[in-house]
Amino acid sequence: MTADEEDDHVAHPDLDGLFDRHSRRPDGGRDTSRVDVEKRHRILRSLREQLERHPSVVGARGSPDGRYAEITADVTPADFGRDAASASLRVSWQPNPRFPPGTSLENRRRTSLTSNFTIHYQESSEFDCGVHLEPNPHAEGHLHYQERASPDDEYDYDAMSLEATSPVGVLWEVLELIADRLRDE
Amino acid sequence: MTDSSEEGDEPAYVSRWKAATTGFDRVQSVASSLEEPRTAGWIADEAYVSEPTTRDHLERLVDLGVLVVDDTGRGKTYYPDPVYTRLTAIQELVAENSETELTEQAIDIQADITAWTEDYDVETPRELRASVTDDVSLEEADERLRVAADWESARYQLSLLRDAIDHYDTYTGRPSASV
Repeated sequence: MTADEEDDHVAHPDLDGLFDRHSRRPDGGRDTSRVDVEKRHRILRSLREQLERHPSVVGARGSPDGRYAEITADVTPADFGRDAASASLRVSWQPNPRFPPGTSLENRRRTSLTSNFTIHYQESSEFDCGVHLEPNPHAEGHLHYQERASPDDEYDYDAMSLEATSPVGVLWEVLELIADRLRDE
Repeated sequence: MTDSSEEGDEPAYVSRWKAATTGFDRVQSVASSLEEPRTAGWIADEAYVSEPTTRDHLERLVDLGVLVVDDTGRGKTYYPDPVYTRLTAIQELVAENSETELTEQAIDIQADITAWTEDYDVETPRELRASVTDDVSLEEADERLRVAADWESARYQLSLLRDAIDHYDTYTGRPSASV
């Protein structure tokens, strides 16, 4: 077992066994997965704070149960030109993502962003749409917009690009983009 | 790029962002969500605040312990202070939950980790990622990589919860006011 694997090893499901207290390797380097997970948590907390400042957001929280695997937020559908009873946003951000074997990074040519993310809008009417930067076998390019009327329908995909490169800038730009598209429909 | 000029040319999302936040808010949020150390010029461009004002805000954030600065190599760069980052995460947990609720969250996370261990017959997220090979379907590969990332997040959240639970009385203690 390597030092990293030893760090990662969880022999028993007791709390003490789950805490990695040795994120620095014996050679002085950092465990990159630990660095990435701390970064992911920090970025999602920043995105939550920004969501709470957005005029269309009623409230935002880390989920599930406050643990920041992603952010969920309640939003006002009317602000997006929609008449649904309620709507929510789901936001994920994954720094330094691992890709399945055979993934072509050529498909990231429309963006300089290195993280994967999803910013997805869902209504009580079952309509949903979002901007994603992640591999999708149905979409040309990792950065794309996708939309469907209900879970029974196939998604329609569109290529897109973004000006912002910071996570919080991307959040505000994507929310504006989603609102523009929905108001135009 | 300044706070007040070029408003007619700026993207609509920037106008909305500016209407909802101050320049200091935007500099702080861009700096707090950095993925790598960045210069004041880069942060100013992303936050839509002038570079001199951004430098002032960044230095204030360094003084407050929010950011660390690196003045070697390719110029002065800024990055979130890891101690401040961890403490504010714990502060949020303590502010929003009772000690019982924190313990319940830790138990729930532990249950999820146990379930992942059994579902995928692995002991760690690293082993789960290593199970993603060419003979795994793309959908299954995506699922395993997502679960591995969530597993690592769950472990990190457990470390925060343990800290919050261990020191709950200290973190929630308030001196009584003198009359």
